[in-house]
Amino acid sequence: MTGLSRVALAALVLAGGCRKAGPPAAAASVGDLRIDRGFAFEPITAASGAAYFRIHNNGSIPDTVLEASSPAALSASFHGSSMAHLDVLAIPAGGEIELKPGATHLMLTSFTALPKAGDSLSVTLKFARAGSVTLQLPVRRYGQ
Amino acid sequence: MSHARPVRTVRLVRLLFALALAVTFACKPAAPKAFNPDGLSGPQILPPLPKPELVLTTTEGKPFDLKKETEGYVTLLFFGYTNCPDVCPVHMANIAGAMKLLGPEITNRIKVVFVTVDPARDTPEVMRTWLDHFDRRFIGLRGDSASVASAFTQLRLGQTVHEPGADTTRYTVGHAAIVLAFSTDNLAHVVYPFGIRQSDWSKDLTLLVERS
Repeated sequence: MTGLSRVALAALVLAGGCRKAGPPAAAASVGDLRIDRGFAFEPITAASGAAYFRIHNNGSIPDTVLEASSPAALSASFHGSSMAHLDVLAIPAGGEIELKPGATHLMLTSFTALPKAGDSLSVTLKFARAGSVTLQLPVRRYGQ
Repeated sequence: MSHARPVRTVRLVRLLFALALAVTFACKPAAPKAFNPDGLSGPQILPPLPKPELVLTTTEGKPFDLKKETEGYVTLLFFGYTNCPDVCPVHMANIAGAMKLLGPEITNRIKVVFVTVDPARDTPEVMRTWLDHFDRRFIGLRGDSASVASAFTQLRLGQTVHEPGADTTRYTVGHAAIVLAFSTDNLAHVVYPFGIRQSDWSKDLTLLVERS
């Protein structure tokens, strides 16, 4: 991530934090993609945790999330609401996808470092067209 | 005085009738109150679901007969697994949050039962650590897959689906995402799908206890 986008991201996270509407959420942009509503739950054990975000595609060509990774966990995979494994996530041209509790989520397993509520969790998304972007997801407790 | 006898007879009949009524009400247990769904956030299910026949083992290694052990309590029953990062911990955290806000006059009349659908990875220790994170009062049950599958059938929940993962230890388990709420009549009149908030739980648990 460039220095400028880091500053922009920090500003967005702060702006999100100041709104009374809800807990802080991360946002970032890469290529035609705009990502927001990013957060992770504080894992209860090192076995597994979940992260969520919304991706909007402002472009006229569909894109896909090829993979996700985090330095804090050994593996990351996408799952639907019934826990079915999803290989890739497609983001339609001019459309959006939203990962949220009880629906599609990014499942992180085998944490090497347990993020706590109030920390941030670094997650990198790799897209087929737009390239890669690293999100600093604010961590909140389950039930918050 | 020719009317004296009939009047007395009428009085006697009335007395006997009153006595019979009193005896009837004294000896018969009160009929169970009809379930009142007013004001509950959980959707009502008709017909209500009977508590399943289910005998499993607690995280302390004791046998647990669901019907016997939860008799007389409002009972929340949820099937899940501790490696589940999404639906299971969100439900548990919301119930735990509500239980913390409610007083003992309510919570002492509630039992929260979590049954694992992943006994291979959910050892008693793993389950206890996970449940204690939410509420030490939560009961964790574990047993053979056949017993749990039978309970799923009795509750018309479908069956669990094992989804393979990156390796043999990283699989996930698809399962029903609802919490069943049994009243003290041993029937689940309402269920709680994903999305029920902590404030809804506080209100509903209070109403379910008060109407028992």
